[in-house]
Amino acid sequence: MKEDSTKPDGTSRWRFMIYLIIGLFALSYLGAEMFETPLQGNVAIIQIYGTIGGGSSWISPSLTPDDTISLIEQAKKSQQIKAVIFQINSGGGAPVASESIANAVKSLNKTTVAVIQDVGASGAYWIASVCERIIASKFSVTGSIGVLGSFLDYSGLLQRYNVSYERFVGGELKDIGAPYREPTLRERAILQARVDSMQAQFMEEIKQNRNLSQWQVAELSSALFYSGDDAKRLGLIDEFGGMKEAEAYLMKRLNTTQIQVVKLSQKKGFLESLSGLSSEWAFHFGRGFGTAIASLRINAPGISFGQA
Amino acid sequence: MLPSKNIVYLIYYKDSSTKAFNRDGASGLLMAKQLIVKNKVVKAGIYKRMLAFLIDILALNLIVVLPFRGILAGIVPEGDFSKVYTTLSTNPELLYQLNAVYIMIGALSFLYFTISEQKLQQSLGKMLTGLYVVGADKKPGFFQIAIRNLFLLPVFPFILLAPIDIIFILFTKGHRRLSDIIAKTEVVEYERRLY
Repeated sequence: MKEDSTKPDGTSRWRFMIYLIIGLFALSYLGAEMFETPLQGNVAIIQIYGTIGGGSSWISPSLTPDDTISLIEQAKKSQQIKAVIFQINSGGGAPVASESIANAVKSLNKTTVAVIQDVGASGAYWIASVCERIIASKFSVTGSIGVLGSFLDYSGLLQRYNVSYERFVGGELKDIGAPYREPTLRERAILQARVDSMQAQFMEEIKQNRNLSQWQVAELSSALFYSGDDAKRLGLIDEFGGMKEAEAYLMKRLNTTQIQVVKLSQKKGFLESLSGLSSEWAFHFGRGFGTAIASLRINAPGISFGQA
Repeated sequence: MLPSKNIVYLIYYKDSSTKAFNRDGASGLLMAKQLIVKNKVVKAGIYKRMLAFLIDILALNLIVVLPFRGILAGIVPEGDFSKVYTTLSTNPELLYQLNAVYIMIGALSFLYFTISEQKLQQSLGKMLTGLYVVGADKKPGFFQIAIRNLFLLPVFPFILLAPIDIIFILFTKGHRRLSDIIAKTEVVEYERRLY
C-alpha cells in the first residue's frame, strides 16, 4: 500500500509557504495597480514640481509631461471635478514639454487656478498663464519669460591638453553648437536668431493668455524674474495668497460653499512604492530611535540628555 | 481497548505501508500484535480550527488586503453607515469598483487556501496549530480542496456557503462545514504516540 506522505520535510514546507505568500503579495499588488481610484471631490489639485520635461526614475521620481497630461485628462473626464488647482513650484524646463502641458490645461474646459509657491518661472509660468487666475505669494519668484540656448565652449580646454576636434560634417551647419570648437560669427548670429524667435513666440503666448499691454510686454521681454508687487503690476499674477485664497475664489466662481479637494497623483510603480515604503520605515525607525535616545535620562558630569 | 469511537487511526505496518482504521479495526490489529502504531489522527477541535482560521485571516489581511488599502479608502467614504450607503447607492461607478475589488480579494484568498492546502494539506494557520486537511482515506485532490474553499468567492451562489458553513459547524454533530461534507474532506490533527 502507498505510504501516506502527509508529513514531508518541515523546512521545505515552510519554504513553499513563504514563496506562496510572496507570490500572492505580488499578485495583489499588481491587481491593485489595475484599479484607478475614483475621484471624491469637486476640486482637483495637480502639482507641477521640478524641472519640466525631466526624466523620472524609481530612485528619484518626478512628474514627466506625459504624467501631468494624463492627470489633466483624468480631471477632464471626471464629472465630479468642477475645477483644478495647479500647485506650481518649478523654474521651467523644456519648451516642448511646457507647451504640451499648457495646451492640455487650455483644453480642460473647467475652472483653473494656478497657485505659485516658491517659483513659477519660464515654462512653469507658461502653464500658469493659461489658468483663469494666478495666485502667488509676495515672495514667489515668477516671470523669466525667455529662452536659454547657452552651452559651454570647451575648445580652450581641449587645446590646452592638446586634444583636437577633427571636423567632418555633411552640411556646413550640422555641428552648430558643438562644445568642442568656438562658434563662428555666422553661427552665433543664427543661434541668437533662433533663440530670439522662440522667445518672441513664448512672449506672444503669454501676452495672449494674460491679455498684456504693450508696455508690459516690453518690460517682460528682458526675461527678468519678478516677485511681489512688480509681478502684480506687470500682470503676471492676479492676487497674493495661497491655497486658502484659491479655494475662496473657487467657492465664489463655482457658486458653492463646499470645496472638497482631491489631489491627483501618478500611481507609483512597484519599485517606487518599495522605495517610498522603505524610506517611510527608515524615517519612522530613525524617529523612534531618536525619540528613545532623547527620552533616556543619562546624566554625566555637566551633561544630561533628554527631558530634565 | 482503544478509547474513542470517532478516532481514525493511521497504522504503519512493519513493512512501512500505511492504512487508516476506525477503532474496531485498529483494536483487532493491535490485538494481533502485528504492528507499531506511529501516528494517531484525531478530528480537530472547533477552537483550534477557529484559531487557525483567525491566523489565516490576519495573514490574508497583510498579504492580500493591504495592497488594496488605498483604493478602498478612496472608494468607501468616511462616515457612518448611512453616509456610506448613500454615497455608494448614488454612485454606481463606485459600487462597481468596490465589487470588483472584493472579488479580486476573494479570488486571491481562494488561491491562498487552495494552493497551500493542496500542496501541503495546510494553510499558514493550520501549520501553526498542527491541523491538516485530509480526504476520506488519502490526500485530498485539487478539486476537493477547491470545493471546500469556494465559500471565499464573494459571488453568487458561493457567497451563500459562508453563513451555511458556520451553521453547520456550530449546530451539526460532527462540526463539519457543509463545504467539507460536499468535498469529502475533514480537518484533523496528528498526535504522535507510540503504543
